[in-house]
Amino acid sequence: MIKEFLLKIIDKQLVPSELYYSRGKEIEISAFNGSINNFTSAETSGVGARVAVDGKIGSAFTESVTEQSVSAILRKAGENSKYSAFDEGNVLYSGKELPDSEEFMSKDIGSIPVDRKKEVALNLEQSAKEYDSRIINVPYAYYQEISSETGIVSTEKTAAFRRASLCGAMLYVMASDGKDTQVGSAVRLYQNFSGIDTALLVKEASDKAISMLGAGELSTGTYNIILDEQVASKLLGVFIAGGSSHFFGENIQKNRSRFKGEPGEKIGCELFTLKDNPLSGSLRSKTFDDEGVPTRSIVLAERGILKSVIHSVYSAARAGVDPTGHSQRGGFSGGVATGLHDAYITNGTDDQEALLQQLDSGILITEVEGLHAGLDPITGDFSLSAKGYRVSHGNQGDPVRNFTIAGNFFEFINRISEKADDRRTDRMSAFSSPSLLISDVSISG
Amino acid sequence: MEYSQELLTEILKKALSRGGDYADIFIEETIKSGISYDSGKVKNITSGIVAGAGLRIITGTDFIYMYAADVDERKLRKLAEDISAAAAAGVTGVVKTLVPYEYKSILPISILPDTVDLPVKIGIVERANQAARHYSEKITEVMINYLDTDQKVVVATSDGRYSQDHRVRTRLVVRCIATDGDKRETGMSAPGRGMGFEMFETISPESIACEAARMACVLLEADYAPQGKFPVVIDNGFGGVIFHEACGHALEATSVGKNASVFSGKLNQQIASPIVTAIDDGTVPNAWGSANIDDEALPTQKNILVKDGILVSYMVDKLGSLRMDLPLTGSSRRESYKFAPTSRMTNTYIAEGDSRLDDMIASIEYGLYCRNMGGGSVNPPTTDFNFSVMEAYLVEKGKISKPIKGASLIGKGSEILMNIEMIGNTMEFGTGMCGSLSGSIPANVGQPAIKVSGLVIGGRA
Repeated sequence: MIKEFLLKIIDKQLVPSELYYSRGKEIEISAFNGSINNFTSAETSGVGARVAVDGKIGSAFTESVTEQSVSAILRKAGENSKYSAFDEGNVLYSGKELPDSEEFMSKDIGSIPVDRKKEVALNLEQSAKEYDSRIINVPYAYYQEISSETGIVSTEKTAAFRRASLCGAMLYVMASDGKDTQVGSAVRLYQNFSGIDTALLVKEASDKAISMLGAGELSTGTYNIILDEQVASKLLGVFIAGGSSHFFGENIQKNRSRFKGEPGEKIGCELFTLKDNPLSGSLRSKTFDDEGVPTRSIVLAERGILKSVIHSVYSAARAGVDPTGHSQRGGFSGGVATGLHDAYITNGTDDQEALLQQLDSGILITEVEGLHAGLDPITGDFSLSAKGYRVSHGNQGDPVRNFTIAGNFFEFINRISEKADDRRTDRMSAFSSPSLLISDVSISG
Repeated sequence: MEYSQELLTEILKKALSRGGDYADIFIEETIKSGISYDSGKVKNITSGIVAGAGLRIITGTDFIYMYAADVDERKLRKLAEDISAAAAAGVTGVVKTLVPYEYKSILPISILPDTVDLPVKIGIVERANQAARHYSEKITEVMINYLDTDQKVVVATSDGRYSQDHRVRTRLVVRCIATDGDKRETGMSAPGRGMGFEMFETISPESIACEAARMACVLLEADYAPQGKFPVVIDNGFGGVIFHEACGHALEATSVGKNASVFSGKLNQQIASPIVTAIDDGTVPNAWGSANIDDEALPTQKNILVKDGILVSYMVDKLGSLRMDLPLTGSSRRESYKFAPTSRMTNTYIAEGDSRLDDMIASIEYGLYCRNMGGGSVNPPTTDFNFSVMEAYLVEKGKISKPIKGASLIGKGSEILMNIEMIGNTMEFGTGMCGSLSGSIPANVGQPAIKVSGLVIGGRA
């Protein structure tokens, strides 16, 4: 229905125009002190329009999905485009009609009664409180589900629609031993409601908080460290998958990337192999990007050598190459940017235990904070608050907190001395990594 | 936006018809426009309208929230019907007579963004680009975002509050890259005001651009920060992010009311050095974080949070007040109708003291002078916080020696507040976006220069 509605409007346009439609349905349920303390439910939709005439582009959006409103934003986008500057990248994708994508729809979310969803939140809170007497408070225990429909149509023959849905659970606990208070959290996303494992979340969040109780401080110095899979994913992800990514064609073209972008350029060490696979079947999978370009698997770096960079339609047109299927939008109101789908550093062969053995003595970093501010995505420099554990003779020892790790992304990807086999695929982030062993890192305590 | 008292009363009554102690409705229409600019030209121009309504029912201290876009009378009634069904099984809630709250606006606007032609807005952006590039040949890229929002809201609550607000905000974000051989650094300046286009009469695009360019160029000459614990002087303006992170979030009822703050149960106790007085003031005229009413239709107010080191008030919204049995403080805020409101900061600052910046620096044998800060974050239960330093200088033997880069400062808010040793005599605000449960909202942070001991400086060996 919506497809026909949008195509009907697009068919009337006399200049190159595109409509991006999205509809989202959300339920959020949280438990506190044994009752459902928040139930939020909503359905919203909107349309973003882009008009590209003679190398100039303009956009506009509306939350009112009526013929009148959508036609109005097409006019507004056309007006905006007149004041934009010429750029050979300002073109719309000449696509085709793609089959509707429904492979990432949950099988059961729609049919599960709300009461069972409430039970997830209640159960999370109660189980965490029962898990250990040192869990003194559970400020947040959430169940959440999102179903979405996205469509792109244009005068340039693109017509691509997908529907997807998933659910998730989140837990945030406080632990105290009477002297010290620590917090722990866990988040998991699932394609199907039947996959939710509350016990696992309770264990992960509670163990994190409890094991950090009585954490000591570190003396300032240079240490060999392991970034656990979560920390490695979060930290390196900012430089690899964030908006300033050094692998994005636009950033390379505008001289904002450290890389020249030529295949064969040495950028990292032997263990640095980076791929993006939008078709793996994970929660981040997509068969087409946000401009309707079909996606495909791509190798960005192999054993430290740059293989390819990624492109939106904009940067591809500037480079005179085909887009790689990496356009991304922040919903109907957001602009078009470049983005990775499900990028990752490939796994090593041994588990984290073996990595600890190889580290022998040093620090296992299990948490970093301040990622939105404590790093410069362009220069690669970072200095971040961290928590973790001492490691001696290959064994995980006492917890440590209130210290920072500082370094540089480009140095780090050249100094990975080993990696584990523990990369996880059940998060929504566009980048994941196994645990990494890195030597000679500055730590201040 | 015209919504009659009768209609709003009907909606609130319908919402509470099958149970609930309290209901409120928030209706919003926000016009947004933005220009993005890089590589010396306009990259994109966008505009749009965010319009919708959110309806909330509170029963005890639990709440249900539902929202919908593009509402009209029919959709509002449907929303009320849906939420009353979800709240079912209880005693019908009472809706008091709505009493309109009228006021003289603290956010008078002389040039509404919608009345300014696009080429004129682009002119501001181009002036900033030229100024940054003229500042130094080392400036190799200038990325600019111009943003304005014009938000109209109507809020009504079942306890009889009913008001409207018109909040216009304008911001110019300039980021520069400076390059010297292989070295590359960035600088940023991004002031915003609760003003229309007249903002640029009080602060020129050239001054914003030159500040970003200056910072990037200074950093080209900077070494990495040292490591360890030293005394630090944090200059006025955005330096106030230290109080915002180290203390402010832990004083919001959102965390205090759930016993998830280190400051829960600490009213009337000393939590900071006796020289510290800290304030959250939503009434500062035309400031970035100001509003005439909060998002529960209560007038905003000037809340003294800490007086002479003693905790005297939290920031309390409706739910927080029910949980903690404390009066409301006009602190309820949200990003848009898509978020239920909660207690948030507005314009938060440490009040002026009597020290001079020079004297503070002169008192340090070896430490840091932080001129510009980046953002940060905090864990309210522990007040473990971190924030980043954008521009800083080493202080040796009481004198500023050389620029340093790449540092973050970390510590425990509850300890750092006790370690504020000197407070300067000139308060200034810095513009920020603050993210929390009810979304990303404009918030000012501010302070005079302060001298603090015991912060860990995360530099490099």
